[in-house]
Amino acid sequence: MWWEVPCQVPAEVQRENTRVAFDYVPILIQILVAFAIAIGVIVISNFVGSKRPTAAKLAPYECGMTPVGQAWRRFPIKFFLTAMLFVLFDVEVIFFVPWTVILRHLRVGGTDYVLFALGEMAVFAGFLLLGYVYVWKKRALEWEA
Amino acid sequence: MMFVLPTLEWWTIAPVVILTLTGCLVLVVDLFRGDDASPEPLAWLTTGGLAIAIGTSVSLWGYEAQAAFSGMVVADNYTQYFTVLFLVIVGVTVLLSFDQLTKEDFHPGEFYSLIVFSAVGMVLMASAADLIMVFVGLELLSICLYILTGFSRRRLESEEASIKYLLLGAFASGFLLYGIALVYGSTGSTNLGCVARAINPASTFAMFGCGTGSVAGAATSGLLLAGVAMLVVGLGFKAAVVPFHMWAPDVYEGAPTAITAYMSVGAKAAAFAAIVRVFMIAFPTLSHDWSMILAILAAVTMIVGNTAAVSQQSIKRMLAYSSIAHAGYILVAVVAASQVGIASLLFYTVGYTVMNLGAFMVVILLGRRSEDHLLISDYAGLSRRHPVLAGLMALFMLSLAGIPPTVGFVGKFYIFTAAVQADYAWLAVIGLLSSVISVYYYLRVVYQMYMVDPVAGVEPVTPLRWVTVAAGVAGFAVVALGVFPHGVLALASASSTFIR
Repeated sequence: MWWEVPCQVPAEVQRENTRVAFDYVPILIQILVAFAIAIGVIVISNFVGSKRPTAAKLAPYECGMTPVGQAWRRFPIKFFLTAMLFVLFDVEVIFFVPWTVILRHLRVGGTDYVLFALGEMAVFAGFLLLGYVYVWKKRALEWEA
Repeated sequence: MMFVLPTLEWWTIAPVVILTLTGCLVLVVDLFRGDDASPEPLAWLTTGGLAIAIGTSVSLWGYEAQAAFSGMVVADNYTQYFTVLFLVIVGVTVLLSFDQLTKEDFHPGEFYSLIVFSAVGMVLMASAADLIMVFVGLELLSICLYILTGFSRRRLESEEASIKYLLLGAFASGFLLYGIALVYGSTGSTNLGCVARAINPASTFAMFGCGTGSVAGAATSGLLLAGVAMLVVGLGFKAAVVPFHMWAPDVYEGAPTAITAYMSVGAKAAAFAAIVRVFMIAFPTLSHDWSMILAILAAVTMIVGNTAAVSQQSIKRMLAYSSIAHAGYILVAVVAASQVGIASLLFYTVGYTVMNLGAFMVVILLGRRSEDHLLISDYAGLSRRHPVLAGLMALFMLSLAGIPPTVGFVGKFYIFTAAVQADYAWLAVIGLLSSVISVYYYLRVVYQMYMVDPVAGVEPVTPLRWVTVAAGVAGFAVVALGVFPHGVLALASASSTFIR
């Protein structure tokens, strides 16, 4: 069929993939639910919520900084540090995804490599954990430090 | 098809594993100590890990070349030769940096683990059998060096050097990566052996783990040559080859002196280790295309490095330009592209390491109070204040200039002999003439030490015992290798047998 994926994948995966367009329906539903919740919360809070506006509340939200004024000024290194840590751990987690997809099919010529793959991931996660312990002990996760 | 699982020959990367664990251990141990704890236990821990890794690497000497991890790395004598060299350099750097580390509020845990991780990068560069591995090793080394360069946080020059190195280094890495992409695009593989087979079907580098990764003889030349040119730029930057050398003087001047010493020998040797692997294994059949380019680069590097060093006032900047010139000499050996040439490259790398580290040891001994006494004029009358140090410095300067009976002379002799044998006599002549220029600025230091009266205000320092001992050992090695080069040369020849 037109939606079939032209790539080399194991036979059992290929059978699953033949209905690939249908597989995306849950994602579509999730998108719809997400939109519904977002719009719903705004609409409902507009009708139900109480309003006591102050100058600070009405100002545009800018992550704890004054939104108007010079852009060339010093700002706390904490923002930078948090962003760095987020990017680091975020990117590392991305590596988990292809691993989980491929894990069940790791069988070559009757030999099972699932344990091997688990071991490899344990090594990877171990280094990740080491970084986490380092960040924690260096008090990089404490905002008031 | 589906999955080609890597066969895991762990022993081939045993030194890398030991170093990685050492770096992690140092980091964790440091976390659970007080902020004011002495860095000494960490230094011992690092040295212990390095010693075990050196022992492992030595025990791997002499085995037949073995590609491992799907042809990503290869363990042969060449790998072990460079591994031992790198780890000795790191060990010396740990010793040299100790004094500045305690005085200048460095974070010892981060310092030692970064320096060990950079060693992992260097070892991977020497053992790489795949362009991807070259890139990973180079990045691991570079990122650690960017941070180490900026480790003197209180000094503005150090931070400036760090940022400069980071920006230019990232640019060079981009070139390298683009070069790898073009080579992959034209040959269908990043494995060095496969690339060689795609260019020349008769290539015999099967030991570099090439399975069915590329189509034999499939390479198209225009794209491939552009890729090779970009690889020259990316690797030439790390080795500080003219015209990709602009970062070197500023970075070498700004970095803590121990790190300058480390970069000038370690990073340079690692870059040349990778250059030899890439050009001798992947592109030997294209040598008529790249050897003239590299020859011109070598000539320009020797001339520019030596003439620019003449006018320097700071000893660190002078040694930076001198290290650029030495990159030119080493590049001559790559141009020669023969087994003799690579053996002479390996020998010269060891000789250059000994004499340059020795010179930096004296610089560190004299300028300890947070980077002062770094002008060449501060060395005036040194022979009266510190006769032993002055004698050693004179010896290192003579060796760097290439005057017998030192290792500098023997190393240059082998390299220029290889160049003449490879019909590059003109390159050898340029090398000789430019080293005549170098005699002027090296001997200027000797002149200051022995002929000029000491300036007022430069007080004698109490030499650090172990650094002085290390400088003495380096001085001994400079002469010993100059008089009896055959032992190391035999090791170098045994390490370059993969080139035919």
